[in-house]
Amino acid sequence: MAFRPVVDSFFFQFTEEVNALSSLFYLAAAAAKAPKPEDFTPKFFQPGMMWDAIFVVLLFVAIGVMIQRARAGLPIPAIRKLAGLDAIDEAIGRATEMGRPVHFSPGMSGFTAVTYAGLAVLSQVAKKAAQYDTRLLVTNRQPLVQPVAQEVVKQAYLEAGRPDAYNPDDVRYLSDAQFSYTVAVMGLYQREKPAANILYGYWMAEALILAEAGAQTGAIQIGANTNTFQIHFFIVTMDYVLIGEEMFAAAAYMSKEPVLTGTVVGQDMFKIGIGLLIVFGTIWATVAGSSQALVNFLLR
Amino acid sequence: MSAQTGLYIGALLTIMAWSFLYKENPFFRFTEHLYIGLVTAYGVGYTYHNNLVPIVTKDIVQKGGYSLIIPAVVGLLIYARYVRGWVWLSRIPMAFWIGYGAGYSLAFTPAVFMKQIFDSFIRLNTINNIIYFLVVVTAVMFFIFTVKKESGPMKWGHYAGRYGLMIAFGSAFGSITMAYLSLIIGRLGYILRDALHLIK
Repeated sequence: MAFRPVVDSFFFQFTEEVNALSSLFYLAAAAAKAPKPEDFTPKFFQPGMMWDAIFVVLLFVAIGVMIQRARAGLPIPAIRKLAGLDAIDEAIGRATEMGRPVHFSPGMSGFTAVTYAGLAVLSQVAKKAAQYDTRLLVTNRQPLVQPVAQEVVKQAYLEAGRPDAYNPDDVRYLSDAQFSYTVAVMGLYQREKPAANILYGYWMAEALILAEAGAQTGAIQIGANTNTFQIHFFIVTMDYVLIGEEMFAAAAYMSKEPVLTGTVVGQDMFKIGIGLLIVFGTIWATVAGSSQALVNFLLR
Repeated sequence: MSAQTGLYIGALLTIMAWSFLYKENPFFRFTEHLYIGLVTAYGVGYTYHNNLVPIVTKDIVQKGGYSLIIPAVVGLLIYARYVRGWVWLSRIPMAFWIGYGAGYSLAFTPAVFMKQIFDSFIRLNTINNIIYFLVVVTAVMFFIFTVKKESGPMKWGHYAGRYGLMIAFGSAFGSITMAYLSLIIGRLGYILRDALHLIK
């Protein structure tokens, strides 16, 4: 009987990860029991999604305005300090001093928002590695992400004025199977002995294995994960960890590019609005006894 | 090969993989390369027999679904990256895939998002609901990056959000570590009971 919660927990985890492998979106949709594409008969205006549309338009406007302000040089709020990102410079510097490589992986998922964030940070890491003349090893699990990662690193070396230092063989596709990839990275850690290990993406059951194997090499470890069922393994084994949404602010924070910074500021405005809406909805539910009337209004 | 021989091989490979816990060694390296090779070979075989052959023989040839040739050709363009001068063609399937992902997310992610917001509208009539409300709001505050957190409500919201998240991660850590222990117990059972018959 004592094993029942363990078994349940394992299968919940397993199911969650299988879903994540198929599609991060479907996982979220299943979790929230939200309408899925097959639930709808295609219509130009989908009933029940008016407020969804309004929120998306408001988000576009907020981001658009902030990007324009940033491009025009008008003042916009600055992104606060993110400790994990400041450590990237330190980690690459340490690798340079030790004459050892930097390892970077954009995570286990295919093309999702998380992977895009990982690739944006990869670009900055590659630029710094090229400037410091430090070898950068990138490993990929997704065949589709591999050519994009190669392009990103190549472009970063070009922008750093070191196109000759780019070695396509250092951006490696290892295996698309979860634990094959994991075991290959473990072996790579031991053979290449990276002085900095940056795992930046969506990680599942391999999170602890990779972080622990990285710690064995004595590398400075920086992790970022959006998987709430695995991020704690990074927190206990890595030196710096970016939690969930922090990943998305990272690229803007590192690059200081107006478009990215404006996007983060616009999203923050929206988040503040959502926070206020939650407070309002909770007060409504407490005073009126139920939030159903408000929810019905927002589901129009 | 008998079933028992398969069990011996499985047990031996498990121990060779675990030898990494001591340090990297030739046995681990052999297991690593064998595992990657097997998975790759299995993946190629599986894809060929379960995707490629049925699609070509049934969906395209038998059912006349010739429109499927178009995405197949677009997909094959990804190999153009190996042909000097034609590399640009390999970006077409990438662009298609990324555009599809972005459009799909924009159309359907808000519904998921809205459902989560609506589920947060709860009555503050129990201690559980009050804790839930406080953690939700302060966690949102933790993830606001452009408002200074050095003073005022943001400072306390940020701290409270961080502690709320850490408590949540701690509970998940305990739960999943227990699950991993059950996996180790299962594997030990495989070696000691199924393969070596040392325990019943």
